[in-house]
Amino acid sequence: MTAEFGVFFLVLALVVSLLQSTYFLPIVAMQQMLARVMRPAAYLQNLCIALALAVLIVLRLNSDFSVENVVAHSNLSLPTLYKVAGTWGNHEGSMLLWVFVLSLFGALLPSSKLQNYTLAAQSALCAGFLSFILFTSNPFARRFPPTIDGEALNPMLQDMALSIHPPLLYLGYVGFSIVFSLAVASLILGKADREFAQLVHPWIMASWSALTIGIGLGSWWAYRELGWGGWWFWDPVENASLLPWLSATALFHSNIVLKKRGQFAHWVLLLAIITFGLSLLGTFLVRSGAITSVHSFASDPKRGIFILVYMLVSIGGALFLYSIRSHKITNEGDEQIVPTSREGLIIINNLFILTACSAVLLGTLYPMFAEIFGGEKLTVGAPYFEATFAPLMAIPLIFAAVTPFVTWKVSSLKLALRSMLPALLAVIATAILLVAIGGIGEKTISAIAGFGLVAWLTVGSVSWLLRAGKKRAKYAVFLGHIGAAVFVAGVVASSLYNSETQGLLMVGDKLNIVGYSVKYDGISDEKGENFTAKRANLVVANQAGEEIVRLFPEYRTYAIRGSSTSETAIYSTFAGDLYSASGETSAEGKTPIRLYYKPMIYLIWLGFVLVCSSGIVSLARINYKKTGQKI
Amino acid sequence: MKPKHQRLLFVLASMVVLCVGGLFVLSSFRDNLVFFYSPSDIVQKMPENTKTIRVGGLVKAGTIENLSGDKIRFVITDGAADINVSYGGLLPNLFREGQGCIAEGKISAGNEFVAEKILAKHDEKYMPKEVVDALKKSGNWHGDGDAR
Repeated sequence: MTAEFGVFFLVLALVVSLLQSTYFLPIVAMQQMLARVMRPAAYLQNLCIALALAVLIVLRLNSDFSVENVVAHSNLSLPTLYKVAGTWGNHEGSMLLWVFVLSLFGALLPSSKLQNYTLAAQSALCAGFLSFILFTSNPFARRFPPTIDGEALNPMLQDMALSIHPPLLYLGYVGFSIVFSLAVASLILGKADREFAQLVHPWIMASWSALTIGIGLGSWWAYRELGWGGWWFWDPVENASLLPWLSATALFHSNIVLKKRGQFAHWVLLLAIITFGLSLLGTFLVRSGAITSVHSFASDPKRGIFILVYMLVSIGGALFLYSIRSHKITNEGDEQIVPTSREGLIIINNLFILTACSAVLLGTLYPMFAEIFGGEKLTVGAPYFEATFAPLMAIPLIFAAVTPFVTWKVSSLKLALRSMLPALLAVIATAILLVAIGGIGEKTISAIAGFGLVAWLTVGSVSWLLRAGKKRAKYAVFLGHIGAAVFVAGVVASSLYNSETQGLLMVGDKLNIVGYSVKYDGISDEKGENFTAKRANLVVANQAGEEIVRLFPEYRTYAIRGSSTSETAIYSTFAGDLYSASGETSAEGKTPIRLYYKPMIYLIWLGFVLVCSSGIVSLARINYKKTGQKI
Repeated sequence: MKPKHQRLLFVLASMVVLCVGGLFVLSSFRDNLVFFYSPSDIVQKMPENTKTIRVGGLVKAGTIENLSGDKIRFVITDGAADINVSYGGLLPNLFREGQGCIAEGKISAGNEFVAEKILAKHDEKYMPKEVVDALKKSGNWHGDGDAR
């Protein structure tokens, strides 16, 4: 019976959310009546979806193989952790998680004048997704006759990061739904002022932080699991998470202007709609299988069309609303914006970030359109993204060091530039140092561009922090900007000074890589809970021939799906990572071994953490203020 | 300069910057498109040998030969046409005879496809979408390899 309870809770949630969405109907008596129940209804709706999610988890824990979803994505030998985490490792379960987060944010909305319209919009979004789940991807569908064992989870996905990566990404994606709903509500009421900016700020920051760390975890997972030494492949699904991140970054910077100066209201509303649109686009790309990607393990064109229609209705509807209502929204004062004031620089930065975002969007969607309209199959190579994204994002990062020094309203760029003197000296010192080490060449020029930016942003941010005095947002600003610098440092170091080598090794053979000599010392058989592994034994020695460490990369075979993965082994030091992966041993006893040396790649993950913490600090500050203490 | 002129200059300058950026994006875009061909497509269309392309199909049974060094040579087929592929480097896991595979590289003068990359496949059930379509087109598709 349990599976049917799941369906029951989902239907109940659908009914409640449909009822809530009728608040949009301009019938005063009905609105008055609904206004009283909007909030309790939001709680009820969330409770129902939470219960449905709980039912699915219980079904998986009990290995109920009369349920299609459990048969397809779980089996008896699966470790308990992955029975739970695998709930959102498949299409149906992940959509359930999506809608749970969607409704959770509705339930958490603080009360304000915008509350009822926001909840109505949020419930409409919820109703759409609930019908999507019930009609195209019911996680509780029965299977008859039941099977004795299930088919297992894709072994690639059996990893700790999996248990937290999708929920965090979803928190981010779906978090922008409430920003979207608030924007819709304020368009209907015709008012978007400082108060509105205050209200949306925590939601943007929370979603943006979750998205940041979700993307970070995803790339950390790819780095450790895929066995090719990379952490970002410009895969459509990766891009899909980057797009809303970029527009959200633009959004919260502009929202600061609205919060502090009461300006840019229109731009903020538009960005709020675009950001959620890009989140939906990401969901569409992953779920429709419209684009070939390593992630598209569960795709169905029917689902794609549903999400496409959903996207057109919600985003199209919101843009229509914007076009007929935005004239009601006014900025405070009518003074012109000075391009070299802080708000001026922020808007310029916004343009560059959105251009970078469009460049990524073009590369991601073009293969789909080329196939639909030209019948041609193609992919856009990673060099395109690298060549366009890096320079386009470098510009906002150069500005990021200067803008905090600039004052609001009036031009003070000259003064700010004078404050950048230490940063300029740091850039020159970096350039001299790099030329001294590497001579003049193409690599040195790239290094100067990369590390020069790092030096500029680091020294600029630190000298600003030292002079920021009692500015309330100083730690959030500092952490975000320094985090970006640390991230760029990791990217530049690990990609410019990366070394790699590979070979088919017999026992006793050696590979050399930057000061390490790695000897292949045979393989041993290992047995895991649901796989067998060939574990290569690698002895890492320094130049003097002394053994430093042993690495054990594994080649795992999962009996139940006949699939295999490479489990990497990494030796991390302060200078960088020595990364090893092994493959299948051939009949003649040759084992393929790949080695990479990635200098300072940990700075990338540190960058993600710092940038994310900037959002959290900015959130914590708000809570602090609420408790009435002075800052 | 009056504020009005300053603003006009600002708008013009940003337009110029954006246009230059746009041109730069588009030119880089054109250079980095990687087209996908099935072995039949290659026989029919003969793509130019300066561009990087992808070829996908099944690894023909009995054709994998190990050459000196770490080089290997094999044949990719879609049932209707074959193409010889040479590759020096480590193969991804699950590279097997009779399984789907995508190779990225260039066509050499001797009509051999010199692969720089063999794309990873991580599940026996999984068949790249392009390969499935290529097999369907040549009428050699039997059953769905990836039901889910």
